[in-house]
Amino acid sequence: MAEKSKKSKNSSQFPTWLVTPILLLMLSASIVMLSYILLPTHSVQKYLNIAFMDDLKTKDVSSGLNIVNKDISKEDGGKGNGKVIAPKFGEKYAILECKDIELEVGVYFGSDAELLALGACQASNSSILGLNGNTVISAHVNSYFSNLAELEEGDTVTLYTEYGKFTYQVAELIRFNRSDSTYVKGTTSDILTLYTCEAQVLGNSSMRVGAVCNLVEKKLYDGTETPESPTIDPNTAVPAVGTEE
Amino acid sequence: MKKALAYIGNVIFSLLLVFSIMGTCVSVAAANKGMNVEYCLSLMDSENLVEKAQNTLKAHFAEQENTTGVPATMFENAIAAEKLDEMMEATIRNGFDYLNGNVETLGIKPSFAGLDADMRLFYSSYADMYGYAKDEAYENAVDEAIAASEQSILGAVDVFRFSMLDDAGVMKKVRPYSPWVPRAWKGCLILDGVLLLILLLLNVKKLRQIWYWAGCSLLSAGVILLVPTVWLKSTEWFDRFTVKSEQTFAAVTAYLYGLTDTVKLYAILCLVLAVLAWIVCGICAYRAEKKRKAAKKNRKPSGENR
Repeated sequence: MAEKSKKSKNSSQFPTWLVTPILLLMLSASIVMLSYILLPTHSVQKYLNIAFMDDLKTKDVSSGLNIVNKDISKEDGGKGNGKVIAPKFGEKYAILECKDIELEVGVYFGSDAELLALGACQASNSSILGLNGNTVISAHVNSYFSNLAELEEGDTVTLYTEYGKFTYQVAELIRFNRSDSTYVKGTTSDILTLYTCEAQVLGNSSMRVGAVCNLVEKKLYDGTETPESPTIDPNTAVPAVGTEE
Repeated sequence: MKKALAYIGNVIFSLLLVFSIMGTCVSVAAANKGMNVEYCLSLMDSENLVEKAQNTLKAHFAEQENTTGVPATMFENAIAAEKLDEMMEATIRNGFDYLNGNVETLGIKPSFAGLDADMRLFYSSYADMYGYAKDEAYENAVDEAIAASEQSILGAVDVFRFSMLDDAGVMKKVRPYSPWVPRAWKGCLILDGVLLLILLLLNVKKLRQIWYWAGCSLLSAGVILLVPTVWLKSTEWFDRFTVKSEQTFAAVTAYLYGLTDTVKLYAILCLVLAVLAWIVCGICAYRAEKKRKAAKKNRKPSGENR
């Protein structure tokens, strides 16, 4: 009798011994997930998102940069369905045109020596075209932005993307030291900042010249409202990664 | 009721032991790899960082030739492999020394005397050829050009971007805590010991159960550490790193993957130890059962009821 009760006790304990490791694993995993949600990791998360945002990677890329050259049409009826399409690092996502200074150049997302050799580059921590904030685009003075210094107030700058057309007007001509981040910070107003190195007879210049342009027309290709994008916060100044042009 | 309370007590302290084991694994990995300057220096050879930095600089100065007029060949001596190797090693050591509080300033100041002299001579000849006045503006422009070239070289050898991290305020935030990283694993190990002792006291009547609970904690710690490390490696997540200069990309991704591999190894070790602990528990339980049956057999002739 005593033996039967011991056997039945052992058999009822067995599931507990089997379930306990799973229970402990689930409890630990839940605590880890809760900590991730509740702890203030937003600022770290923001830096991680910017530092590791290039998801165009393929296995064949050796140095790390995967360049995607897209054909951007200047005509209406591109993709997008009225929504802003966030570009990937290394992707050509716009054409910048300024007829007043005979400028037309492709714009790549991300600022990198390799991309600067191909066209103008948008700082990856600046606002994507179509979203609120400061869109910052730069290029080499000895190539694509060689005549940027000819811009005058009132000139029209147009950017064409797959999902919309954005027209700006030059509001202010600027000149700043490369260590000055005043013009490359995020803003609440919709502006476009273009800049390049100041041309100098001898050597590199530490000064940058360009223009700040106000948005005058935003046209998404089926006329619907622009949604908010969670990708980049335009109101926070974050040091840009990449090289100087 | 007593057994239920004992069970809950074991679960609670085993749960604490899970996080303590995870802390031990991560802190050991951080001490051996994360904050280990020799590991970072070993990446210089394994990832050919010097060669990559040299290629970047050659391309940079070749590109700059159009703007500045300075021939790229002028920089050949300044960016020779041996010099870059020295500067890169010095930069990495300086970065870690700064993090650990051994030095107060970040950045190295190598001698660019040769480059300085060559560039001044070049600009002087250029100015003479075009009748450019060698006034204060000229001197400032030359100084700036030389400084920019030196900065380009120093930037290229700063493969872990210590200066950029410093500008972003990250180095200053990490600096107070980094000397504690090599000691953290000792604290975690002591905590592991304390929690095991508590589990021992909770299971003093059946000591073999300590192996079971230790195994449960090791399993949970191993799985929680293994899953993200396997995911990071299989998705090649660190390849999404946005700084694409060859040497920096290679250095940072190799460093992070190496750290991930180390944590993965410790996770697998935890799982192996978990299995071993359960095997020991099983052996102890089997032997105890055998002993009990043998004792019962010996008692039977005198104590059996009919």
